[in-house]
Amino acid sequence: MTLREPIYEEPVTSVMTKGVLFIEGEKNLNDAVKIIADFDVGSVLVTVNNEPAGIITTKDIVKALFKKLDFGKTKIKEIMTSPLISISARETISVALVKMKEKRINHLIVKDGEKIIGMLNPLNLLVV
Amino acid sequence: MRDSAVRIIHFGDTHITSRPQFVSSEYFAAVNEINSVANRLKVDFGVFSGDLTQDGLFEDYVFANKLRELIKLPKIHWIIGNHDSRSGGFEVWEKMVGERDFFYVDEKVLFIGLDSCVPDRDSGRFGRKAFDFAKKILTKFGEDRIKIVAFHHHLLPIPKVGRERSNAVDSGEMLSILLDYGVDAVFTGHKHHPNVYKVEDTIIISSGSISSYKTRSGEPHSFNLVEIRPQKDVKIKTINTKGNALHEEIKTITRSFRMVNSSGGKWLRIVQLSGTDFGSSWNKQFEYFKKGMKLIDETNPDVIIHNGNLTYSGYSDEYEQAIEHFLKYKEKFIFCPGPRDLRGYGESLLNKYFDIEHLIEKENSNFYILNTSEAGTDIGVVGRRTQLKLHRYVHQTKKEKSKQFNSVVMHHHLVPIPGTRETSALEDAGDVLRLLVDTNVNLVLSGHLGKAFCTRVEKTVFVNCNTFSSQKTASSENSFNIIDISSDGAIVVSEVFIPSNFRRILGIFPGTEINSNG
Repeated sequence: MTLREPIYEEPVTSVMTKGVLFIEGEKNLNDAVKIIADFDVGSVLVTVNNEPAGIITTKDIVKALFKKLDFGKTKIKEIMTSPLISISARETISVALVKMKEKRINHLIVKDGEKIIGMLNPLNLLVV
Repeated sequence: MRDSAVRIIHFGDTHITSRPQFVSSEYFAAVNEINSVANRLKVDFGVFSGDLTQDGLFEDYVFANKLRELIKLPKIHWIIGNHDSRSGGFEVWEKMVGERDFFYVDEKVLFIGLDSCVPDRDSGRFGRKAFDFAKKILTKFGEDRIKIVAFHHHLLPIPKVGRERSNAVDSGEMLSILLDYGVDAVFTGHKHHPNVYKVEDTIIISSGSISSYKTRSGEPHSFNLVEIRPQKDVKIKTINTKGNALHEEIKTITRSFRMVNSSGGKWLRIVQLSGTDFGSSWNKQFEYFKKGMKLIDETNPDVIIHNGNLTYSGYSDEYEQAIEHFLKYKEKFIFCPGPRDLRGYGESLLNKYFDIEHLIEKENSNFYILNTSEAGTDIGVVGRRTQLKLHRYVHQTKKEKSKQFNSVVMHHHLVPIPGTRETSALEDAGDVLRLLVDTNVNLVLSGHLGKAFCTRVEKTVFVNCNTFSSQKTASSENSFNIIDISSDGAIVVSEVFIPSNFRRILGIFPGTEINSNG
């Protein structure tokens, strides 16, 4: 055996967070903050008319704070990041990393066909 | 992918020999039924899930090859079993039946057949090469096809077959691959009992035997008719050799369960740990314990569950030391012993320091404590009397408090854990797993083998935790789990590593509606 650089050729499903929490885009920012704080997650998927439409992250919340938005009145769908950027469940971790770098994002939705099955962020790779 | 359903005849464990272990009358009856089904319906192919012969002898194979010809299916994928591998029989298999590891791909289906056998052993092992082979093929050909993997050994414990034994030692790793690569259906044999489980979105189907003298729990010989529809509904019908349907169920592979509504917000936070190992000579035990407890305090849990191995050897001073540290959490602390806690005089000390309760109600949630450990052995057992009691309890609770959140707390695991070796399992794991799943228990917590893992079997979420402050861990660092339950019943499982304080989400699962107000 010889030493090698780590190559991430496993599928994204092997490291992704299995499952995604979602919240309706009609709810307000206080609701989003509660979910993010309650479950200690960095992002929540947002649905509009029961369809996945965007994502709200702690970064979006910080931006809203900076803009002094009214958290009780601002709807999540107004500040969510959209459209969703996704990757196929069959792609490798390397491909996902390149996509995150190109799109300058920290959260990538993982899809099996049309169905959302998980989320990937760079921290997932720390346990590979 | 074409629109039509894929129909598969799944049969196995023929155990062909000229000796009495082979029941030829049942074999011929089964073949008639299989051929009759194939004539009536358009069957795409057959899957034989192993143990063609009784002892892997040349004459067994000669006899089997004559009998195999009677089955009239367009194609049959033949999987090798542990009996076929006996006495060097795996070499004869390659000459007279076919390859032991193989794949087949057409426009609709990717089928992978694997050898899970170790020659002259009843237990199995896949091995690294089989994992690599399966991953490579699934990556290359899995897209837009129904993905099926077959091997002989059972993956999850099977009910009604007596003691849990002779499974594949690395079945946890195989399970992880099947789930990660989105395999749709898995076909197994070995235990001579038909059984179906939906694990996350993978359907695991076991066949009965069609002609071995050994059937289980007085059940008849049987085979399965499996229909996989394009929308990935999987219909499984178990048929006896007389052509009567014994059982029929439909499982749906939706993948949609992964999107979990979080609107309800958090209702209950459980911290789960095991393996504190008080009394261990490991120089980091106390340092990690202290740091871990500080991290737990910061999470502000409603309930702290210790899944066993509180002490290293079950000695009195170890118990005293542990009790001293956990006493301040008395109101929220639930303990279920591990084998180390019962060593020597441990069982008596356990009774001295703990109220031995089977049912604890906290925060409008019910925790049933299932002591699976015994003194002097790492192997766990529930026992038939306790199973009966558990069965009554679960039914009663469901009847009276149908919308309360019901958890079972135990030391030993029920679902194989990736990255560990399937040893010291629960002796009656098959029956216990079936009972918990069939009664829709919400959450099953275990703390075995030093590795955090969670998955969902049918509607029940299983969470295993790593050790907290023990040198014995199968992970890079010691850790504990945080399990957050929302008022909608959704379950978010995270692992917190103690030395680094790194936290990762292990899984997010939807739940059934619960009444968080009691």
